[in-house]
Amino acid sequence: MDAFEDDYMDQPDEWDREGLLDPAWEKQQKKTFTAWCNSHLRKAGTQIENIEEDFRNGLKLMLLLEVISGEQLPKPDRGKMRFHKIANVNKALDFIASKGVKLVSIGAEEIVDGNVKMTLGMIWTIILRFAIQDITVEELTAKEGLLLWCQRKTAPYKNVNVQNFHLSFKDGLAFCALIHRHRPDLLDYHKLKKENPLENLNLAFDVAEKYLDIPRMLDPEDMVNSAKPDERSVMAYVSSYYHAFSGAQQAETAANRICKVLKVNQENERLMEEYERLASDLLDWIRKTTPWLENRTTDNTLPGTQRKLDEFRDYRRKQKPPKLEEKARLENSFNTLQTRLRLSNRPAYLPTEGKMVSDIANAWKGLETAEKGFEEWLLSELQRLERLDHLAQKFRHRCEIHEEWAEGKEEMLQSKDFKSCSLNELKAIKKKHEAFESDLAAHQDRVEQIAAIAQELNALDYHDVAAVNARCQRICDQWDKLGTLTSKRRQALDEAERILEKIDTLHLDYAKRAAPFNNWLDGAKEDLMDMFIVHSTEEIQALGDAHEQFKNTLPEADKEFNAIIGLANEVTRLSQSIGITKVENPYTTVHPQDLAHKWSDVKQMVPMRDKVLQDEMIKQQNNERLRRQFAAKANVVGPWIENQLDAVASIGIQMKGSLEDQLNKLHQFDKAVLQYKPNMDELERYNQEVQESMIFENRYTHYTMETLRVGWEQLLTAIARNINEVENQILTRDSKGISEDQMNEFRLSFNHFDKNRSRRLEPKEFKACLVSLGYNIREDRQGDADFQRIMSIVDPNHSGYVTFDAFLDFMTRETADTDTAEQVMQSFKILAGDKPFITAQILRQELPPDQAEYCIQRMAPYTGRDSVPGALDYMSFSTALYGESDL
Amino acid sequence: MAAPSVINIQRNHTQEPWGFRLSGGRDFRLQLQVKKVQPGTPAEGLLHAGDAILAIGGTNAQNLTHMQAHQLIRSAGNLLQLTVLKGHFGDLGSVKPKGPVKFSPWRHS
Repeated sequence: MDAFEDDYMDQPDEWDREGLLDPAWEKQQKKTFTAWCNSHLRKAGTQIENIEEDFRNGLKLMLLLEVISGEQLPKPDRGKMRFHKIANVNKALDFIASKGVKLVSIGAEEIVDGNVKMTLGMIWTIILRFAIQDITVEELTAKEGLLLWCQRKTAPYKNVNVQNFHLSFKDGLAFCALIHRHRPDLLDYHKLKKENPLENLNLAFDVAEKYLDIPRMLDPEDMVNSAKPDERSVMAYVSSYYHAFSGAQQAETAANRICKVLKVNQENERLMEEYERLASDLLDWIRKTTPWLENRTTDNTLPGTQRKLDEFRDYRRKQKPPKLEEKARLENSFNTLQTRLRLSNRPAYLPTEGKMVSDIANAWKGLETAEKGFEEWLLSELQRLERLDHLAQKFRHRCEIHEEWAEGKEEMLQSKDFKSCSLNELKAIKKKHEAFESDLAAHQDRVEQIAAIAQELNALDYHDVAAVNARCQRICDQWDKLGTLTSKRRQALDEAERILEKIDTLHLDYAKRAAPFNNWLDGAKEDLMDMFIVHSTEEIQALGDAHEQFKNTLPEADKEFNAIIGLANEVTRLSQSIGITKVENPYTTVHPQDLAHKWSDVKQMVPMRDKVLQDEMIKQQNNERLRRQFAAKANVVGPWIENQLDAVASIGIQMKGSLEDQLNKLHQFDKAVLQYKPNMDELERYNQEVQESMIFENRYTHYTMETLRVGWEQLLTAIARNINEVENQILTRDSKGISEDQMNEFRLSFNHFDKNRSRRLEPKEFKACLVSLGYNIREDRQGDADFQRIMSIVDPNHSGYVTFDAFLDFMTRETADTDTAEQVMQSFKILAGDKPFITAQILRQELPPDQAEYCIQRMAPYTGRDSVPGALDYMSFSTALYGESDL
Repeated sequence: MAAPSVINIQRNHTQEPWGFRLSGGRDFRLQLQVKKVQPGTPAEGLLHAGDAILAIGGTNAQNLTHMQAHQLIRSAGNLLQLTVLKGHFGDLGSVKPKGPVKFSPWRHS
């Protein structure tokens, strides 16, 4: 007989037709089926010893069916007569038939008569229907299903190859492998040898009996000695293994599902915590930094202000860029988190008060507002202080000249010399005083200039204005005193004039010419030492031209000098001719040697002035070089950044190639930008040189360092944001199984309505897009309500726009949720053995420690009436995972 | 949009569940709503999946967190009064396109 033909649905009358059964197989079947029946009958506290005898009255047969089906059969007839027995057996056969099994060839009489073949056939039908039929793996027949189960479970075991239910099991290794696969603790599989079939079979059967509660149904000797073991016996026994292990398998699947769901929650919570932490750090930094930027005061000194500019440069180059990166990372991880939550069917994440993305954007905006104009302010402050410094120097210089002049004038004016001198001497003294008066008048302008400079220093808030004011006050006071003293002396001299008349005229001419010349010399000295501040070659050129003009007047002055000295020499010559050794010129205080000395000073100062002007010219030319150096580089870097920005922006819009291609391209951009960084650093160095040389304008480029820094940061941010977007799209695409073609179709639809290429749709655009795709959104209040509902799905944060990623998710949303509270609840129910609560002990036993503790910490005590101590409520826990609760 | 309706649900004792699942709340930025209704419970036939909850008793539900709403409903005694918007969060089936999505309609026009 072909043992593979016995699919009971097709071959109900095989037993009858065959009429014979291999005696060895019959012996095996009797043993196996008896043991199988007893493995169930023991639950009802009974057993059979002889299979063809003990079912004859139908009573134990009915009991067996009740145990294995869990259903109640009609009450058996208690009588001992043959017809009672037949009635009972028929009740059993009717029950089997009611389970959809045709029993064409098996009659009650033959069972009652103890027909072995019929009895074995009937038991096999029962085994098939109740122990094997339910094994359905991938919609195969029951037998193929059981075979496939064996093959899958033994696949990792190289010396086992299950092809059938007879010879494949003969060496016992298949049984051992099945046990080892599920309970590796029960036997040491690798020590087993194919050559010891008896040993292997005994080991498997012993272990199964002792630890798995599967009675011995097969006889190792029979298995080994028969040419081909009985297939039905082997199937009956193997099916017991299946049932013993499938319970564990179900629990394992349930535990896996719970783990998967919990891992999603744990990861999401981790991302939320990370977001909160990053947000706090960033906000702290912004809160700390903003006041510094808002503080627009300096210590009013040049070095202090310069130091502040250095600090700002450090802030702008070293401190702010990593924070901007952090901000971008924060926004991106927020988007990723929301995508993950949406994909895993969880409620959207709401950051704690004050830490929303918009809060961070606002704080950042506040920072940038505070920063705006800071550098310009500092530079203008520097310019102001530099000018002030220069003015103060000028002030001091003028003061020095004036004080030098004023030195001893008070004593001179208070001198009583005119009371003990000759008439001539008095006349001289008077003339001398007149000359002094004109000198005094000539100095009026200088004093006024000094006062004007002091006033300007006050107006410009010079830091050491106290000293300036004190000195100015001293000069003014002295000036007033000199005026008073001069007029007093004038009166005294006038008083004496009537008495003293004689006038020495010899010196008169000298005095008349020497005084203005001396004055001119003082002026020339002042001009030659004049301080200047220029910012361009043109300005220094103008100063040079003025100096050249001055030099042209020198020959004329030389003539005048020689003429004046000639007069003095004439006096000397005349006085010597009449023997006077010492003749004072009464009309002037200007001595010829003073003039000569000053004249020589002026002639020496001319080339010095030439040198100063020349140095300044070189400095201005160098500044020009620095401007050109910065401009040349900036004019390359600027357009490069602009081009990169355009290229990055067009990647998402052009959608050439797959998402991975786009991602790849974006990573290449990222790399290119990173490699380009040295150019920015180079520019920063040029810019620093420019700033340190006090250059404030550059007409060779319209780029400033700041515009380039901003462009550079925009580029970095744009790349990072695009990478994140594409990654989120990949995440969505892979979790939904969207093809590349579909992806492109979605992208085309989206882009078509993204009129301003902002890479997100405004509600109006999104609505038009949905309508074009066939959505029925009416132009009435119902349509508005429908659309508002859709918006609350695609934009849970009320950001006011729809990203491509959210659009994609919405369009591919499945009607049946793949991951719901119900499924998690069902899985816990399996672990809990159908109870409405679970215990910490079960959780620790079924789940990995991490997940088990996660559950135990969060589950509330179960409060139902059937509660036991330590019972936990897995139902409210499951709904809470999805932001829901049962009431 | 339909007008809000006031629903009164009664139960026999305070331990008996009302028989519906609540979702949403201010903390989830989602309006409070009925997620599902268990058959054979006081809520059956009165509440339906997708009903938006506007008020619980005399309390405006707009600004309640999930847990606040949960506690209010739990401690409502044996009579629960809810103001709901029927079917506000029903499935979007009526809006969805019939048949497969037609891509890029502008290409054909």
